[in-house]
Amino acid sequence: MAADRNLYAKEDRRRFRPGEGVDIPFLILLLLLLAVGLVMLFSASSAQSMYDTGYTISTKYLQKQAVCAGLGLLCMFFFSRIPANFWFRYAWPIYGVSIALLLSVLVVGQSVNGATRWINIAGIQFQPSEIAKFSMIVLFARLTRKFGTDAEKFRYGVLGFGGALMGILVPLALEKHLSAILLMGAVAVVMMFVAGTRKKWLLGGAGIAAAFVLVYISFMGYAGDRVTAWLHPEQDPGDTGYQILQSLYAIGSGGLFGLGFGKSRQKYLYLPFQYNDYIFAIICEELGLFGAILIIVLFSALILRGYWIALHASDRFSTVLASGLITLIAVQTVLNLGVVTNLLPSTGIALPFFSYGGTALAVNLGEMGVVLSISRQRNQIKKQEVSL
Amino acid sequence: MAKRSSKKEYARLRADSGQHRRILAVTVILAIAAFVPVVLRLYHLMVSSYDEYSLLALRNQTRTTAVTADRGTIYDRNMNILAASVSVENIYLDPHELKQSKADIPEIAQKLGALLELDPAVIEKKAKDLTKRYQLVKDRVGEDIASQIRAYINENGISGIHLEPNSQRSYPYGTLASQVIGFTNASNTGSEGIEAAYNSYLEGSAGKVITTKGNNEMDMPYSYEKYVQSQKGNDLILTLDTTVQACLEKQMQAAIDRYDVQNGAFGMVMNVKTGEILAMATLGGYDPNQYLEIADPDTALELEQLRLQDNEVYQRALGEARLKQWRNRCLSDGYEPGSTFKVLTMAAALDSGAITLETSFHCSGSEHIPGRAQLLHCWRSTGHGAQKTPQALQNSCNLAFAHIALKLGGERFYDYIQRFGVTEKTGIDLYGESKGVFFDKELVVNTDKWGTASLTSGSFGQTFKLTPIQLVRAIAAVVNGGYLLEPYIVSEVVDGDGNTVLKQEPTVIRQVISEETSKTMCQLLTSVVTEGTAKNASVAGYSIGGKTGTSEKIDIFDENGQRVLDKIVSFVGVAPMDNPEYIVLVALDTPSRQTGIYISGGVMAAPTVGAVMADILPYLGVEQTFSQGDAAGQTVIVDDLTGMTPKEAEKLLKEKSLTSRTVGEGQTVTGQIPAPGQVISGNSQVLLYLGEELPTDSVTVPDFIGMNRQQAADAATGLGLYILVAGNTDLSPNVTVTAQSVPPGDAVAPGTTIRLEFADTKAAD
Repeated sequence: MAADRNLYAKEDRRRFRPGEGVDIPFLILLLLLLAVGLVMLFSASSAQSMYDTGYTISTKYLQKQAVCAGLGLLCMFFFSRIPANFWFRYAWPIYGVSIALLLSVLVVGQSVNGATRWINIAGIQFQPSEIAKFSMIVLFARLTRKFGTDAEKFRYGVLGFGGALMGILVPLALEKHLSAILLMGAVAVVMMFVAGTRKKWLLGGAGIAAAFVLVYISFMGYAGDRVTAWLHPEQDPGDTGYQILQSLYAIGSGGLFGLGFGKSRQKYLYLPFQYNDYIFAIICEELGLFGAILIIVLFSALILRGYWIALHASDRFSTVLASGLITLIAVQTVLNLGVVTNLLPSTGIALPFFSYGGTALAVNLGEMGVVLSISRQRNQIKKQEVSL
Repeated sequence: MAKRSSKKEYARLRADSGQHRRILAVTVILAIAAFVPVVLRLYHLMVSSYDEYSLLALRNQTRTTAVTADRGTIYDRNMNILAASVSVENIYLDPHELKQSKADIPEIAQKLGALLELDPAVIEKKAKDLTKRYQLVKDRVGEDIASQIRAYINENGISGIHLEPNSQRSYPYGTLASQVIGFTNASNTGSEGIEAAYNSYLEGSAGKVITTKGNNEMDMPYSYEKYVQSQKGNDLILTLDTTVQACLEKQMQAAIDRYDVQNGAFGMVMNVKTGEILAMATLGGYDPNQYLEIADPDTALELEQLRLQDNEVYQRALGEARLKQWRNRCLSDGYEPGSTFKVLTMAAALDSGAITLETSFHCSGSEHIPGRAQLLHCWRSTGHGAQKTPQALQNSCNLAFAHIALKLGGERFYDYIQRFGVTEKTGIDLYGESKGVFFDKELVVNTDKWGTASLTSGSFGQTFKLTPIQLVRAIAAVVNGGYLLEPYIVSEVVDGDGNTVLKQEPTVIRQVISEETSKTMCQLLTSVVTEGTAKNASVAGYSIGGKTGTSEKIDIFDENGQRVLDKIVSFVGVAPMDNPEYIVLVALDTPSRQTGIYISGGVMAAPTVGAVMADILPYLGVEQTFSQGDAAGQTVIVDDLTGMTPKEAEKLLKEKSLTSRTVGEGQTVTGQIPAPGQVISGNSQVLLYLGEELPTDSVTVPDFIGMNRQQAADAATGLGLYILVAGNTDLSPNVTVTAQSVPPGDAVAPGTTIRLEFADTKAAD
């Protein structure tokens, strides 16, 4: 035991040497995506920035996003140094805090575009739902570890996870944050599947959730138009169909090689949300099918490598935690691309590392820091095994 | 070592194989499978549907700006420009650009306000409104102001003030024939008259600029621009003659002033052989250069008072006043033709054989007509006594015409009237023609059931309405050999290269009466002027025919529900009667009772038409023919006689039917009164000065009004003035001076010619 402790003490010192031990392919893919993301954000947001600033500044959005990317990288660096068992230990408190933050939005939240999702802490505006996503994944990973094979039982696999999920979903529902509910629901289902919850329950649960969403849509109204706009955007090109049609114009006019970097036309205020939810449409317009596929391949590779890290993690908690965090990125990516290409109805889910949005970018990078930490832990144990 | 470690790892993985297998499944789905539909979809959008979407996107991103085509020019028959398009510019601001260039907005507002005569505060507000990138300051600014603004922009290097080309319609003749020509509205589309009727020819095809533009008018760096040239509109050449039009309007205006006409006047000149309209006037018009302004000063004043009281009432009244001044009464409004219509009744009766020139009538002033409940009165209550057909027309005898109608019968009467085009539009190529209101055929034809009231009243032009153009066309048919024509005002449409696009030819619709009847009618109409109610229309040197008319407004009631006694007096004249070429109608709406002048077509409208004829016939090249006794009506230009012997001068003067008197004892003429080149009447006496000084004392012009020919001549000769006789040349004491060219009391040189207008002020109907 003493030797073990010495070993760990030595390891602790090493842990604070930058870059050591983390999964290099994953890190490279991540930084690549972040770099491309910032560059494309600059292009996609430049026209809007010019317009907003009375034709003076083209980098208004890039500046903010770059600051958040810097903060995010700091987060990532910091979290990559935190061992997974820290998250295991504080899963519940973190979960509690995030619910408290979600609820506080309802009281002191700030409205942007009619939805109240932001709170202001020390002058910094951020979305607690981003933190809630992380906290739920951490809690699910802990529960998976705790339940073990009991996850096959209804009271653990369904009620246990379901209860934890509801704790997050109910405040989100009160915020009318449909996109977050959808995302968390999807991530939760995947994680429960990984934990071993029986498929029939998951399918049943998914069915109930779908029914619930349908009811939600028909009652909230504001999401109902999105479905009509999804199936028949050309019926109302000026209003409900406008967003998706403009997105399709941007994508379709890209062709094989695109109009060239920076040469998008749709970004000149034709395509709304061109620098956040619909940034991929501008990418398609400027870089063409080849550029779009290249970015998809980067995402695919990142996700593959992420799951690879999960599968090779040093312990079962880390495996589930890493797979949950990667699932979060994967589901966001897939849903965003689906929406932008009109395969799915509009939901309001951003493209990780690309879309404008400081909280999401910083939190996403922090989460990737956790994945890197898990990869480092595994590499060090491996090194230890080798040295032994 | 490596082998061992991987083996160990593998073992560890197997321990959790269930979970790991499930993660692998998730990996396959989320890292690979889920992207497959996205990539396929992208391939579909970006490769398979590329053409479709790039077109849609281009359409989405392009703006088409119309470039106004130059509107065609409207010429009169002598190629005088009646309407033309002038290049002007719109001045607009781009508030974003102004802000970006940190322009001094208050200073710019002051400068533009001063140049454009606008309130600087309004301009400043526009300049600061960042919601738009196009803030129109003023449209259609003339080139002089526009170039000043351009200079101001260049001198101060201002960016954000822009000028864009536009076009503005200009009407050089102002109010002349305004309702006929019409005007174009703010969007350069013809709104009234020829501008509206021929809009499709005049407007040309607008060009366009296709540019890629960002939403909210953002400029895009990678843009594309295409320019489609605009096509200038076609030019129109009218049958209208500005000189004739000006003569007509001038004489109508003179009549309005002289008779204090309350409600405007309308009139026209048409070629009876072709249907070409040479002039068409509705007085009480407007200036098409400022078509929204109320031209009539009295109406404008009334409106201004209304505006101060009640804005809503004012707006309505303003709208009505505008519509009224834009209205071409010659074709849009029906009126009761009165006795002028008798021409058609008589032509029908003669042509059908219902009467002959020898048919006798007796007028006792009033009579019970069979089938007519009311006693029928003639306009002359003492009656016309025994008359034959020509006298019936000369006297304009209502009773005689009632009998003519009865002889003709409802069936034939209606048939002729219909064939004279009274129940149909003339088809003139102008906007807004109506067709009047005529009796139902049943009312005229079935006299057993409905009585003869409609038939008899109709025969002398009462209790129905037709439009002036309908009447003129029908009477033209009476005198031109019987041919009903389609009147027209645009003779040719020419494109920018001078090619004829459309050429209008005279169109005969039908022959209504025989050539023979037409000839007879010409003689009868001539006799109306020489012997009948229209003596005031006579013009020296020309044989004029025509028919007077005085009609009451049967359907206009005053505020007490009483029928108003307002009258429209009119005259339709034709000349020259041996071979009719031109027809002139003048109608004066509601001459005032205040002047004390007898209100009738013969007194008021006939001399007006005579004056028009006197002006236009020489201009139109109709030859004058003078009989011996008519010399007084002839005008003569006095030659320069100085240096001649009195004998030579006398001989020369005699050839021109002038007489002479010598003053002094010399052998050669050293001076003369009147001066060479002066126009005087035939039979006048020229004073030849033989060495004596010409008198230099000026002469005071007397008041000739009310004098007859003899009195006027005596007064003029006594003062050493010359008179020029115009209007009625009859020597009857009833024919007196109604107007003089130099006002009484003016001092003039001896020998000055005063033009006197004579008219029979007792002439009725």
